[in-house]
Amino acid sequence: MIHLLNPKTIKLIPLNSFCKEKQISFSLSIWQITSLAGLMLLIPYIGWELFWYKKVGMAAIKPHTYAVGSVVFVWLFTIPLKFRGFIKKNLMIGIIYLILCLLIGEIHPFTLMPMYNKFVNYAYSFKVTDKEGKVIPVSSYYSTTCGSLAHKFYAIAQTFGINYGFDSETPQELQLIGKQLLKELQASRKTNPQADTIYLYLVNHSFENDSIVKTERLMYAAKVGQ
Amino acid sequence: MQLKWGNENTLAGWYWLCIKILFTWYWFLQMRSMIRSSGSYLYPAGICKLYHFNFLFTGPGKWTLVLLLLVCAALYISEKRMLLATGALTLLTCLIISRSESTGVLLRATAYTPLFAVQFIAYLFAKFNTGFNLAFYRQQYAVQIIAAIYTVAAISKLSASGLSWPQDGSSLFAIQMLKGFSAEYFDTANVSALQKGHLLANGLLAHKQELKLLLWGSLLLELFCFTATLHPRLKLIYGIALTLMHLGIYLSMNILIGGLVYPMLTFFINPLYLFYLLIQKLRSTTAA
Repeated sequence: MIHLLNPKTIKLIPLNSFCKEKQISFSLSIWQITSLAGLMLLIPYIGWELFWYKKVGMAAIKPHTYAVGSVVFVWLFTIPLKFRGFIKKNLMIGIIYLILCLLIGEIHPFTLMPMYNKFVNYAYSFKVTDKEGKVIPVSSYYSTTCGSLAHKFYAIAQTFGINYGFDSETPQELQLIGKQLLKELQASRKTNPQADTIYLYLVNHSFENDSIVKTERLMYAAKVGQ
Repeated sequence: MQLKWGNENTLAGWYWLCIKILFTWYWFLQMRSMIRSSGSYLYPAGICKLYHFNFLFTGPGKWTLVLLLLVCAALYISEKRMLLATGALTLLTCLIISRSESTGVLLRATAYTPLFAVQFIAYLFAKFNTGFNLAFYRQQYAVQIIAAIYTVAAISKLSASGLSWPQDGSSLFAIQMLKGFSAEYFDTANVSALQKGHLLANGLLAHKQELKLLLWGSLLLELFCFTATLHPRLKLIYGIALTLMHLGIYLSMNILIGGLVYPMLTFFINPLYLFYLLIQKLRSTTAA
């Protein structure tokens, strides 16, 4: 027999007497039973699909994926009014947006929120120095930040078709990106830094043998104001 | 009950007005900063794939854009011509964010456009369906969008890293943290930022298990964010939990995803309304 814990008396009471007392009926329609059974099959199916999607990417998306997706979509629209009302009230717009995000991807106003979705063993930051290697504070002299420079680094690398990350860029590739980055930086200049030439470095932090390792590589140097 | 469009002098009316004021404030600051920094065009993103809209990001174009934003924001806050206001705000926000993303700098302000879009949808439904509960749905749709974004973030983590995301993070989070503080040091030349980064990173490496638990917590919190749409109390609890999560990210990584945090704070917690209630309570106590 199924028992419930009564919070008022802290006593175990049989489920059927609890239901009688609270006038709860357990009648399920054929539709609800079918839906529950369908969901029981759907959950492992989604797991299986996700597993293969992770393994082989888009090749995992087969006609049956679309067929099941369509059936679920139709199911959502044909469920009894009360439950449909619940979904419409609490979830519908959000779920539509979520599905569109997953289908369309990183195109505004949709997003996949990819930041930090994978922890990688490199972390790039960018520093600007003078000839002696003294740090030139970017936000004091330019209307940008090192964070923005990092975003631009990835964007420029993608534009040039350069594979980035894990310190894998060649010196030539770094020079190519660095030149463009320094051009962008100089274009946002508020005032000239106290230096003839500025040097842009790529700083990488990585994790090796249970400790953090830092490397610095010169990307590009340019005369101030050029 | 069908609600007439307007900022009615009721608790529900004040609740909505506080949401609009706070939301518009954050939104406007972010849009202004995006318009200001709309530098060189690296590659077209979003709506800019259709047309570059360069003329709007010249000197006079920027002023016109800001003026348009202010007019629409004034209409929106004063609850006048809401279909026009929310429609125009959706398009303008989409345009400004697309343009900003075209410069290569991703400020993660994605939420603003769909948030205005769903409010437009709510007002559209109310126009054509007299039984539509506008007072409820104009907020509820926004809450659903925010919940969807958090859920997408969790799905993205699970699809990119699988269930090992918290495990990977327990070791590699420290270098991402150090990156954040290094960037602050390179921005300001303030050595204490770098020292703080090293201190925190070493601290985290010494407490990998605790960090793993926290990462699991944040992943589950994001994954089940739709729970917040079910009841106002759940929404408040979720809002507080997400605020704590973002506070943790800010303190540890020096990162604040303002484009998501501020709308979440506004729609989940509505701090301005809480402040209004506090003032009302203090007033009634003083009067008594």
